[in-house]
Amino acid sequence: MEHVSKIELIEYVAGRLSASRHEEVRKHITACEECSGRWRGAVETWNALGQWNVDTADHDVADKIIARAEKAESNRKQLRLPRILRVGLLPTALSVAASIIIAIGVGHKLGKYSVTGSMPSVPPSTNRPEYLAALGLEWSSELAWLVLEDDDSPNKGDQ
Amino acid sequence: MARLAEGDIAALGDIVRKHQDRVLSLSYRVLGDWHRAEDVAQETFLRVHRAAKHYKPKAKFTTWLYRIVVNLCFDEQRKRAKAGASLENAGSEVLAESDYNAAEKKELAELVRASVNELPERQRLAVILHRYDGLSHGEISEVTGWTKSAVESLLVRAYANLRGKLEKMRDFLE
Repeated sequence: MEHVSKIELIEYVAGRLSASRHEEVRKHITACEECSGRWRGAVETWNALGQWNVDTADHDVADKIIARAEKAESNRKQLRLPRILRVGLLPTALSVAASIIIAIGVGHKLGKYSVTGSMPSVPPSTNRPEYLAALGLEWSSELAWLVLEDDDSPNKGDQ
Repeated sequence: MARLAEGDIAALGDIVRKHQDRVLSLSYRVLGDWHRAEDVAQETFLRVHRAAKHYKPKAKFTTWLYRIVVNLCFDEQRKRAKAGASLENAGSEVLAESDYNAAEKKELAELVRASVNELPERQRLAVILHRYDGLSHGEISEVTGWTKSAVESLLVRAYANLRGKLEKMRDFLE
């Protein structure tokens, strides 16, 4: 077996090789003086690093996180409503709508008493225009039919 | 996560209590500052909460969680770099405070911490995830988005650097 690679030695010391690979490396280290020396150095470093312990006991953040998450959740629920329905805006929106309806109703009532409010009704004209009389027609719509009939006339090409 | 996706806030509490130690210790080791570490921990779990409805377990939950922590730590470091502060400064502040508290008892631990903090940023993160959070180099690759070979190289250099630093430290202590 070749010498143990640097990364494999690190993972061997950390105990993160597969069981079969771990055994192979162990056997090699036992037999190889060079790798045995490297292994001892790696173990010393590993153990020295283990002296740096971090005590998190005084840093419980669970309550703070729950409080922030609950606040974020309620904000999110509020954001889901249409803007106008959010707390605080609804009474304002309703009072504005009521004011508009009242103003329209009052304006409508007052309109009956204004000078320009009622226009005299004009009866439709009963006089037949002279150009229709000349053609012997009663209504202007008959004029359109007359033109169309003229276009469809089979003798049109002979004229 | 399924309970959390249904809006059960108590489920978030369970997740936080189960994982906050590893999130806090990782962010503290990377940032060297409890205040920032707590901020990162809070933001991490709030992101978990926000993402719960769309969460699809493609990888291990802890791998996903570490990815969030690492990204937030990167953001914090960028902010700090913009503000002109360095981790070395933050570290020495912590060291100075703790020196007065329990100098002799914690001397070795503080020197180890200082040695780790002196590593280049990527080496430091790789070694923290490997030594203290129990991730293999393959898992570190998943969490950070770096290639496996890059992680291997970072770990090899980081441990070699640390060995040199800790040997000097041992001579100093003896």
